[in-house]
Amino acid sequence: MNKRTVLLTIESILCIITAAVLIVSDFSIYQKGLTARVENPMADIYTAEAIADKAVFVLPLFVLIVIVALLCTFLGIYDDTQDKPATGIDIGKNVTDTGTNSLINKVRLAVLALAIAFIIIGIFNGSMSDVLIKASKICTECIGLG
Amino acid sequence: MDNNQSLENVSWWEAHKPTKRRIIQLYSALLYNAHLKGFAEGQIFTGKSKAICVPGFNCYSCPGAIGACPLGSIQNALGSLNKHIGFYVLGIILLYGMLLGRTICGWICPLGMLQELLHKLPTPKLKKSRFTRALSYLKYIIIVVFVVSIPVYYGIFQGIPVPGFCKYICPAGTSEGAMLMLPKNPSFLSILGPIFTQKFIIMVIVILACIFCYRSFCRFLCPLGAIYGMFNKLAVIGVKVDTNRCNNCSACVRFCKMDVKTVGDHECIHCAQCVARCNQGALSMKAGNLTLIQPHKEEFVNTEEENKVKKAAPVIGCVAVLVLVFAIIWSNFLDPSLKTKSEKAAPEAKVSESTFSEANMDESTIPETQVNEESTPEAQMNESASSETQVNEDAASETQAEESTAPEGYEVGQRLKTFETECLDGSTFNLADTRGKVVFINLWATYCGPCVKELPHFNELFHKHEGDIAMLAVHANLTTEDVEAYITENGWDIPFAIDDDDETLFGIVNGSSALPQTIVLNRKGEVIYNQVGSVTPEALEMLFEKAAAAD
Repeated sequence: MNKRTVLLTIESILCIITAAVLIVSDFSIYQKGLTARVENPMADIYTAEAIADKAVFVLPLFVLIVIVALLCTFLGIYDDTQDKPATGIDIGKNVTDTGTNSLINKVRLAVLALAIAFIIIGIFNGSMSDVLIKASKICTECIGLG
Repeated sequence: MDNNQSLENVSWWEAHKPTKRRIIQLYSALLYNAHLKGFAEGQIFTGKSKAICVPGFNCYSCPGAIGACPLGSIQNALGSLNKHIGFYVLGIILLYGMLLGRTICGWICPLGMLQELLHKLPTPKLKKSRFTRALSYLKYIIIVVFVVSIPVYYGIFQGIPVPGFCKYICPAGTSEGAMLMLPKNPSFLSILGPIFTQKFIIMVIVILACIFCYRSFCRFLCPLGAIYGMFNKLAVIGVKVDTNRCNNCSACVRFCKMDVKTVGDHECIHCAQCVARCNQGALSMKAGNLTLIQPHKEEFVNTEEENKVKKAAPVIGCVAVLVLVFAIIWSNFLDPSLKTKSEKAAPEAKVSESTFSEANMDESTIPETQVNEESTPEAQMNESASSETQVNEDAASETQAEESTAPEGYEVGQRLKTFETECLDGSTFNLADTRGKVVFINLWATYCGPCVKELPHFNELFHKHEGDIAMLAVHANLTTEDVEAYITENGWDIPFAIDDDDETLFGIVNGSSALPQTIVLNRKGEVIYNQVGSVTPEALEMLFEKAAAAD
């Protein structure tokens, strides 16, 4: 195995292990938290201590990923397979008779006019205010805090 | 490198320097998230610019975000179809789609840029294939289920707003919203539960997928990209094919990392990397009739148009820089909403010295209704024109010090300032009148799913301990709904109030920009609980017992 293969393999293994550790740690904190909550409904599922305990395993992996990435960058090592043309896929034809430009322009103008009309109606029917309200006072569960 | 040229004959810097596309991506990410102070403070921006949807995928709960996410907004609009049609969001999406199509994904989406940067990690890469192309249709299923069906079903038939994609999948919400809010809001840890666990795992899987497979989220999951993709063929700006020059050699499609079948189809993000690949000079990036990116080979370059773009570029660049500088200065220092926030952070400065525990205990025997009747004229005397809520400044002069010596504030162990507010049913809620009772204050909004789900439990608790408990549910100040009708429809009969324009009540209890929030006071008016997030019925009962037992 050459240097390129070794480094790329190490980096990918590190990435996979880090992801696995993150998922297992998260799940483990959640399970322990649930157990604690059975005894005390007010107990927190996620605690700073529990996260810090797991971070000890994750942080060194992050550091290793960065080190290997930097090393590869300076050595000019990367996977160049994507710079080669893909094979075994369906290819369409770029040049087809899909209609005239004038028709496309008419559709564009119609949709743009509709869009502007909708925006103006929206400003007056309260839907613009709705966007502001919901973006200013956020619901915790909607961003994953729940 | 964008053009995939051979790296052998170019310097390291030439090979790795940021391309124009990367600079534009960075610029738009910074512009969308110009509220830089928010990252340091862990507080979201609440200025008026949040009424404008940005074109790209950028969660509006990101502390830096100064605009709204179009995907979050369309889900909210669909969830409230029974109230009014979300014409504004529909119009915005139509406008962006028709002008830019998926050029947005390729050039001005922060999440797209993050995916490309992750993909730069040196690992073996998964190439596009029939499998990835089949997988690219998954995002249409996600649109139907999570973006349309769940919000419409819960919003219209259950009366609970649930933006399905944001709540169950969106890795941008988890990474930009939750993960960036947590470090500066450690109290948010206590509200983390199954949803966070699920979304964190999804986020990790998406990040891992992006490392090995180019723009995995864009290609397989992103509903916004799928929506913009529907406009791709018609979009004003994008990569266009010169039908006179194209010989259908398919080099453009074979080298493209996205699952395209033809240039400019629904999967094309108009990144324009194919322009350099075309030996026929048939591809160029156009805005209407103006060519923004010319064919790679000199023989195909239209010098007249190239000169036009070169002349316009410095002007556009200067305008772009000015816009960014203005956005940063405005959103960090000048926006009126920042003033409200800083006042909220130091409420001691704007309220009187009166505190709950200073109220006269002798009055505790007076029936609540009588106290309310007595306090109303007093409230009317002091009422300002803009606000129905006021701090009870006169209470201090009428009262004597009580046993609690806790400092005034909103943290656990501190005494909450007294206030008086007019409720929706016409009664008056005066905190000073609730002495000797356990007090629950709930901050909520009709558009907040968890708020609406937990309010029946508050209602139940209120009736279970009637006489020994005082409760006030404060709706956020901004609303386009008839809150009173909504409450009546749900049959809740606890005291409800709507906060005023200055967010006086939210300020007194340190109301966050995140909902719901519950504040519990013991019989002495000391805060024993002040927490953002849903509360279960069991936890509510425990909080009551704890507050009731406290001396």
